[in-house]
Amino acid sequence: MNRRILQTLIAKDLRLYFRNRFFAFITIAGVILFTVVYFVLPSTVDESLTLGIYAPSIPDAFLEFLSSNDITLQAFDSDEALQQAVIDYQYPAGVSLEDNAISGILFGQATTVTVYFASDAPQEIIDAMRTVLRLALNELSYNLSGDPLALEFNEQIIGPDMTGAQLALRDRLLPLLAVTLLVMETMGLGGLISDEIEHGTLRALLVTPTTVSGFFTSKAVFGIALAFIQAALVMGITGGLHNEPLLILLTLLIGGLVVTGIAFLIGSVARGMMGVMAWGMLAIILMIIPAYGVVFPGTVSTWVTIIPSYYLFDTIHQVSNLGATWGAVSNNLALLLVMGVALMGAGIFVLERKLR
Amino acid sequence: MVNHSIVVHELTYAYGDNLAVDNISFEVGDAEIFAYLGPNGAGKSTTVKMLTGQIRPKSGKATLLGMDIAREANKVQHHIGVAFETTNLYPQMSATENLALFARLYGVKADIPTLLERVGLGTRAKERVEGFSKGMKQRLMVARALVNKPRILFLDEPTEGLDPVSAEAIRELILETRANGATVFLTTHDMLEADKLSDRVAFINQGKIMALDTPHKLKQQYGKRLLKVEIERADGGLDTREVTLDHAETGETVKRLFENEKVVTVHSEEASLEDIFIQVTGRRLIG
Repeated sequence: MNRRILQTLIAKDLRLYFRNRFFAFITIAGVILFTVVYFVLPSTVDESLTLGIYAPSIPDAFLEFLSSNDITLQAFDSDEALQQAVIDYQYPAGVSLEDNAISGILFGQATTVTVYFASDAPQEIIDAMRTVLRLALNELSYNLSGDPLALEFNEQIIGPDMTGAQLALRDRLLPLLAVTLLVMETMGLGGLISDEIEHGTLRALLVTPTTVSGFFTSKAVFGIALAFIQAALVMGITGGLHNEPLLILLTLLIGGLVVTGIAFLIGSVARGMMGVMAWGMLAIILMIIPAYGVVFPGTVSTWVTIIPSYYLFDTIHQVSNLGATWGAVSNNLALLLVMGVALMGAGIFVLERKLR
Repeated sequence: MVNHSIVVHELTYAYGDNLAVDNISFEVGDAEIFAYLGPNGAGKSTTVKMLTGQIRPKSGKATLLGMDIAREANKVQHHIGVAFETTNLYPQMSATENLALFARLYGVKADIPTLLERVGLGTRAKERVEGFSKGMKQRLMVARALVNKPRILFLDEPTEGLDPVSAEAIRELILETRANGATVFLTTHDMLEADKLSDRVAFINQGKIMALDTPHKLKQQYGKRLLKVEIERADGGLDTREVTLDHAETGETVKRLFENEKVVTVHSEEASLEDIFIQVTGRRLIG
């Protein structure tokens, strides 16, 4: 493939892309809007706490002590309901005060209290809860029996184990913002390819010294570069590249490969702008689903791991938010690369068949 | 000795079981305008696709400028220009941008303003193609096919559906291109155009070449020359008589008509390519 031809085709695609007002708008607005969204979202974590509690009767002294420490209680009818609420991340912790625990507190006896912690509760929350509960229950025991309580906690971490990983919402959302920008390019590039076929311009190109492989190469370079630059810009502006920038950039680059492969498929099956929009939206929705696993841990099942964007979200989240390094995400990257190459191969295969 | 820009030898192509081009052979000389005539589905476009490197022949061989198109398509494509039947320009680009893009792909420095002037689009150079009429687009497509100063120009129905002015502009451009030494491979089902422009014509039907020669020789071979004579009847009405030329008794027949009848008009008529095509293939070109 001649370098001059490649440059000419890429320059042509760039010009056509930005002459489509819709794509030009979503590209530029996407970068600006997503950056603004990041900075508008809260950068700190709300430190007032609500605890779940299961207790046949909740002593008033216990309630008073907790409320004086900015902790409110939400009562549950059963221990199972309490656990489910903690697993569902409705509360960072839950206290189960069974009848025998209440009577132990009442008589100042050695008592075991079960505390459930959500798996994404940060260590400082766990430590604070431990201290506050110990003090509150001792206070209660003093008030009721006049003796200090010999208290033992039975701590159970329930739900996916993410202790210590609590993040500000905007940091949780950052992988979503970056990957959404990548994925949106499936429509832009798919539209360009579909237009080349629909308008017959591809035939015109292929009777010049432009080869089919040259055409694919130019589209792939353009698609990957456009998607990568947008996502990298958002990550850079929002500080998402603070940890292992090269690793994140490489991840975004492979992500560009994945979305370009999808764009090839869309471009070959879609007819006209409406077709591109319809297929593009379907692809975007599918590709965004795994993000919920990052933004709202525990809300998606393991089947999402078949969606390539899962490895994209997960890698960016782990590296950017949890400080993961090359070794920790190498499997993710390898899988993402394999999926990217497979999608690209499938896209080229389908498109080539369509050309013939 | 005639040099051949295009040499086609036993070229065949099939779409599945459907034989689109069936073992055709012909040559096109340098600076010749060669018209390739046939109805829709006859195999014209498939032949052009093979000759321009868009598809590979199933068998046979086509050589353009001494290069095998199946093996050296990329090299051949540097020296050919193709104007398609259906418009395939970049509508969001201007006329100049469309031509500049293809000039860069060929790696040539084209005189785009002059080229646009030649096709009558000099004043519309900076306008986006999406606002052009069909005739303007067609002229721009021909200009695009000329951007690399091709040695062989392929034109597929270049004047179809155009207004007379646009059609005439394109015909002049074709003649000018030939005068500059390029070979023109003209695919059309406009017999009058083929008759007017081409040095030789080939009739293709059902993938086979049915006849190939100069329009004049084809007419001589297949057609018959006539005189159409209008005669006024006694009641004032008109009768038409046909007198076949090239017969021994033609002169005597005409003489008798003038002596015995009241001749109103006399017209000479010769067979059209359309008549010959029907005679050779049993089909009409359109319909």
